Amino acid sequence: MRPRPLRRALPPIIVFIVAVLLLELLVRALHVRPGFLPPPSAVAQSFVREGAHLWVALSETAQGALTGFALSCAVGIILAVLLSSASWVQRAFYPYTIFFQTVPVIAIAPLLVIWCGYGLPTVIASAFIVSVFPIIANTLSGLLSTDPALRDLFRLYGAGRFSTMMKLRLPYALPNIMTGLRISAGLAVIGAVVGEFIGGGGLGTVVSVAGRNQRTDTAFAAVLLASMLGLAMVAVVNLLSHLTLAHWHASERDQD
Amino acid sequence: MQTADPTGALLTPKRAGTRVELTGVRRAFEPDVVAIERVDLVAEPGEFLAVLGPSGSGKSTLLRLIAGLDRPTLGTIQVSDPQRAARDEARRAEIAFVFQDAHLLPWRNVVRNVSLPLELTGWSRGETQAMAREAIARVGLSDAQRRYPNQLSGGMRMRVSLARALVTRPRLLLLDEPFAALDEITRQRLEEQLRELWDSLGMTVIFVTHSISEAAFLAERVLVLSRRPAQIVADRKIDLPRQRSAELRTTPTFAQQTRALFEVMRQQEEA
Repeated sequence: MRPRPLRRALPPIIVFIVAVLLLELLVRALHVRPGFLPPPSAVAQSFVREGAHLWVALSETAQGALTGFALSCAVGIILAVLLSSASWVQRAFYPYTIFFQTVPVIAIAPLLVIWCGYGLPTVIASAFIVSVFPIIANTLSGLLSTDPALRDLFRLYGAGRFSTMMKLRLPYALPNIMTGLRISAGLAVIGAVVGEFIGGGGLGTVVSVAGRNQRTDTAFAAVLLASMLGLAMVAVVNLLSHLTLAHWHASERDQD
Repeated sequence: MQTADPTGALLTPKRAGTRVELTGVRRAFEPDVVAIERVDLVAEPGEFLAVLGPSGSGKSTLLRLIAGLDRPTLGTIQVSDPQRAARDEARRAEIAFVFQDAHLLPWRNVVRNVSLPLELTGWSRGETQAMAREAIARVGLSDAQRRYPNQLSGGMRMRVSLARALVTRPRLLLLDEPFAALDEITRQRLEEQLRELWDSLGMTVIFVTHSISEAAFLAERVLVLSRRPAQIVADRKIDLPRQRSAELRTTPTFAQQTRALFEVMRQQEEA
């Protein structure tokens, strides 16, 4: 039997409530300085107090993260398709795509500001750099694992490269592409916030300003919003993955 | 003879099979790994030929060579049409291949899997639908047209694979141990079905297998391959009636045929 959505959601909700209550009690009982660690109730208050301000910051961060993520999807998938076209292309260029994975984005963020200017462009660039590699790597591994018998079948019927890519290799790689998107969706938010630390705007700026003013309650509120944004993006990818794969791929069937 | 289908022109039951001729074919993967050594082989138009050999002999390589998916190191392969296809038939793929497993596209339902070869060879959507349905009906899966491969049993998947091969009405059908992974009952049923399909469609069939009884039941003629490097060590005509039913399997004549093949394989093992 399939557990109902409510019953599935219940355990994490209970854990959340218990953890929040426990934290509240501990912070109060131990008389922790609010500037060091605010009780959850203070964080909740800052949501109310600075709601409008936080909402604007959230929408800015969302814009940067989503645009960066969309760019990653497009560029990542296209690059993977190009890399998979010939083994020499892959040998020559793949090592350089790993650059995106290894570059410390916080260290090059000042450079991004010089190249892209303050504000949104830097944020988008930062989100893109952080989130593109998992899409390239996963898509590529999916494209390279096409069933050889099916490739033979397509050859037998004289299918060209383009129709083999569209009708066989890309759909075959779809489960891998979805894995890449799932990883990148969360990373894009992290990249966006890092970009905002240096480039300015959004939740990143809220956190750094609040930190300087020892407003830990506001900083916590902003951090919570950023991670919820990441969760929401991952949830959308999961939904997309379910819609496209449910009828054929084992990863999306009910595990009862 | 025409079927009742309104698109009857597409469904003319018989098409002449092609003749296949291999002369001195050798296929070596590296200088010292020889899969096939000097194979001469002729399949007459419309013949059902079984190639019987131990696992790991070059059976699959042989089929891939005939299909044009691989090139021989030496020798020539000719797949020729006795009656050159009429102009409107030129679009039809002449060769079809059935693999060891069904190898369907899991994201396509049965109809869309079966119509794939037509799509790839440039048929319009309206035509592919009717032809796919007809091929699906031939393998008895009309009730499962909208299902996805993961909703089908192993035997049904293989029948979809057969329908996909037949949908272009090929003149040459190549099968690479297609029923090896199926249970005995399913396998026998599919063998009978394949035999009927061959009988009504008239294409040339080359069927590779390691099962003696399968080769004897299906084929008009059986070629026995040696271990790697594969050479043809026997060429035996199967002396059984053209109409072959399930009951044939338990008759003394059938036992005689399999026994003779068994002896050849045995001698080969001991040699």
